[in-house]
Amino acid sequence: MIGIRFHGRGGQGAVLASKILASAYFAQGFYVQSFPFFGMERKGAAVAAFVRVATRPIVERGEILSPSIVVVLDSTLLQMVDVTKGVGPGGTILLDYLAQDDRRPLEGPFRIAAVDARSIALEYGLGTKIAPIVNTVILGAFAKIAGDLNLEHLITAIKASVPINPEQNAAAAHASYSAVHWIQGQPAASLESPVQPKTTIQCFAELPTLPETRGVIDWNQTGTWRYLTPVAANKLPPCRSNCPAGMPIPEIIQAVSQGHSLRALELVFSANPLPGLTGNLCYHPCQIDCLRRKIDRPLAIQHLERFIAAQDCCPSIENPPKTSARVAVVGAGPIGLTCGHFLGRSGYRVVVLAAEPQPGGALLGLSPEKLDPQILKLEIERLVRLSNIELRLGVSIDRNLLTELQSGFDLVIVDPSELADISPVKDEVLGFMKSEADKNNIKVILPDLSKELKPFKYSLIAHYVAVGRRIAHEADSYLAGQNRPSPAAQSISSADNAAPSLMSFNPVQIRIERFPADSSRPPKTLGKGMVMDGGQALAEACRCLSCGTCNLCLQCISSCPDVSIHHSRTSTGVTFDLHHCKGCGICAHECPRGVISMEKIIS
Amino acid sequence: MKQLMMGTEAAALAVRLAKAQFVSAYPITPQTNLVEELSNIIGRGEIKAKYLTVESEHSAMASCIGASLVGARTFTATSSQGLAYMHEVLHYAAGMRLPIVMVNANRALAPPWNLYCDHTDSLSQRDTGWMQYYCDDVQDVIDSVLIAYRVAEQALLPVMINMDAFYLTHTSEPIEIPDQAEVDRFLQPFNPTSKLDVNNPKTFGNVCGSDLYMTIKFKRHQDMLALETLWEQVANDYNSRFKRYCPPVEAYRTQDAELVVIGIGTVAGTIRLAIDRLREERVAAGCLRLSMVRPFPVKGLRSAMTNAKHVVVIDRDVSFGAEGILAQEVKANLFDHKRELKFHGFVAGIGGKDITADCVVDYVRQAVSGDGKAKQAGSSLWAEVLS
Repeated sequence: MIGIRFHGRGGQGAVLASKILASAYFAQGFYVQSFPFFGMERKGAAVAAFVRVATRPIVERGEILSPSIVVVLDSTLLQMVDVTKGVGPGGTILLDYLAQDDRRPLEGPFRIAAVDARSIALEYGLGTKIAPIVNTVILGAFAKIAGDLNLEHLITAIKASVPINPEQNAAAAHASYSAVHWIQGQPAASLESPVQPKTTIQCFAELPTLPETRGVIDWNQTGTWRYLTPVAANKLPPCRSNCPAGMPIPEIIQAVSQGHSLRALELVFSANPLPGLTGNLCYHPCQIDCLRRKIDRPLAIQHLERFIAAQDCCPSIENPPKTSARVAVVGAGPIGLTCGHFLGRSGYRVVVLAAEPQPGGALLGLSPEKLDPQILKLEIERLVRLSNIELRLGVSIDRNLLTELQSGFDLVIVDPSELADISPVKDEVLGFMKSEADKNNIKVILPDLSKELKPFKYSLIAHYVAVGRRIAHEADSYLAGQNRPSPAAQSISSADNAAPSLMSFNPVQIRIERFPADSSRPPKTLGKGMVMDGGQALAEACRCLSCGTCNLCLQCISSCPDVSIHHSRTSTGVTFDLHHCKGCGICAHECPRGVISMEKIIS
Repeated sequence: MKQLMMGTEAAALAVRLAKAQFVSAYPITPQTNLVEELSNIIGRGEIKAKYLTVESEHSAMASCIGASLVGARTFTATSSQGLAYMHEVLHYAAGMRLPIVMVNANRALAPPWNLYCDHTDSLSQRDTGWMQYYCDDVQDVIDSVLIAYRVAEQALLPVMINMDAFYLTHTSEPIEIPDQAEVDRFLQPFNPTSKLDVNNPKTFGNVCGSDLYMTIKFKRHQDMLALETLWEQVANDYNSRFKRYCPPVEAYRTQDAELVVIGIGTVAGTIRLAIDRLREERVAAGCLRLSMVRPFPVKGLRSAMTNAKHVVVIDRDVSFGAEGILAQEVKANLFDHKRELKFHGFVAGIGGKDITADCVVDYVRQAVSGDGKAKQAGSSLWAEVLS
């Protein structure tokens, strides 16, 4: 008698394969028996089926403990199931894939044969790319390696048994018959034995009186059924990818919609210390690709920014203690101020110097209609207060100053947009600074500005803020590399790589049809220079679709059929219980914001 | 001081004395008085308990399972069709090891529709894993319910107390009411170590593979077998406090008996009456009342067989196509013990037929002489069927 064991996943046709094989042997005059292991049969679950073949009537029943041949329909099972169980010397294992380098993927005294069943199935149009149907394919290979099975009987049995495409199935079995080969090579370097289920109770005395279970049990860990794994990751939405200053706009708007204006202001300050200026002057590219435009009108992001900036509250920004490293920033325009602000918040002792008696640089030249001087004053005051930096104004930018700087500072940064003001002595001053710097081992950073930013254009203010933050980032990296006393706190993120970890966002992932149009007209206060009240800001923020950004709407949790998605009160996103997630993909389909995607993750 | 009370009232009073915390039941004749009385007791606030009205016996037991699992002392009562309807969840209650106490009023199963005494309802639940006790009189009802709670909670197994329809449920007898303070000392509050608790989440009765399933069942079987001794111990403690003994079996004049008549429930009293009469006729007869059917009181049964040559079993039940259920049980447990015994199984007194002492004497005579009015079918003799 020979015993054959099939390993597959529910839906792959392992049970049908066992029946076809039994029919083929039966047609040849053998006594046969075929049966499945009846367990948690669902699509994707590990299943087994058995065939006994003999020249005499078969009287025994039940699992075949020492199979002569084991057929594996899906090699991803090798990590979960011990397919070698009971296979002794002289036994054979037939695998559905070709190992690279002809290495043995399993260790033991048995022979291994393999056929690229997936490719053959796809070639003959059996199943889909994700789930090719390999059961009849692998039977062709079986006929070759088993020796005693007549291929023509097998083909007849296949044609009589498959529900559709009998000719393709038969042809695929023929192809597989010719393609199968014995793996001759050595075992692969790192053979991982499958994880054996743990039985917590080892002896009778450990048995509790009540049939109770703590945590998960092996029997219902439906996570093993999964082909695709859900991944929840925020994506880069259009507003954020368009923001020159790299502000985390969806998170900011989310905070406003929850009534957390202070939190919103803190998030703004993580990228932009001059929100009152950008909120009034910026050309707001954030709104250009806003998906809300497809429903009614784009979100008034700039007005929300103006609202946040006008909040009469102070963000609780904790700065690290000041280090002894000193940085001088020449120029108190938006670049110099932003740069000084972020360096100050990183713990450096920063002095911002300017020739004018007022800070603001080129912004001072704007007419009051363009920019209320009071806003400029308050914005700069807040910027200085929160970063604890020193402003030294009305100083003449000359050799005396530079002499002073060279003795007292580790780094000098010159705001290029303010160079016009230094202009009369520009070349001389710069030349001197550079030579002195080299002499005294002082670094001078003189950033280049792209030609679009020259001369100063107020509507590009967010770009100047971004440059200031980038220079601060460079300076921080330089000082850290110089082993100067550098702050232990988080380094300044570069504005250029606003969100490097975010995948780009595909607008079709936002299910526009799920969001009703908002018939209300924009509030009248959305005119130039006006500021929304709290109610208007809340209503406007609630219009945000939160593209690509989890806002804990929890639709995934309510749609998960396996209760396998969780979130805690403090978490900002959801987590998946991969012990039980079957990978059905309903959450990815249901997520209205395109945050969840189904990924092929090979462990 | 004694008080006149029906079996249903006695059962309700026992539940009050036991201070049950959860009662869920669906009314059915002849149990109805019992649940009405209990709902009054709870309604009047005499015990701090939740009374849940449900739409069926299946739900009654299901809710008792939930309540017991959170650690409440739980009670339900039913009869006949209601018990049959509970069948599925009876297995669950026992498998989950929940010390639920239930009173069943033994009533005939339909069809034909009949309200009177018959033990087939409870005996056909004997494989569900519930302990089964059959009461002798109304006093036995109140005492056995109290003992049942302590046994159930100690062994973590459910107990079914059975009383004969009308012979006990609706029969008033003077009984001794146990003192509440003494009951409180006898029966401590139920405080299980493992229960359904949101702060310590666990699953009960989960899926289980072949690796553990048999072991879990083996443990339950072992614990169930031990109940005969445990009941005896608890009944002894009860006896020391209240001066009444509720034994697993009750033997009457069996010491020298060559013929032992076996029965369960109220028929035992009638049999004792018949035994006295037979003794006057110099027939060495004795009576054995099996108060427990699950676990089967093997020890008690065998010890009553010292001199026995004939065993007469009176079944108020039948397993169609075999014989009386009790007769089978008795035979099975004496097969290895005493091969030379002669068995005589009578099916009698079902569907409202009274079994009188005269009847019992007639059965015994027919058993010994082989001649009588009872009609033979297979190995059982049916009394009082039309000729």
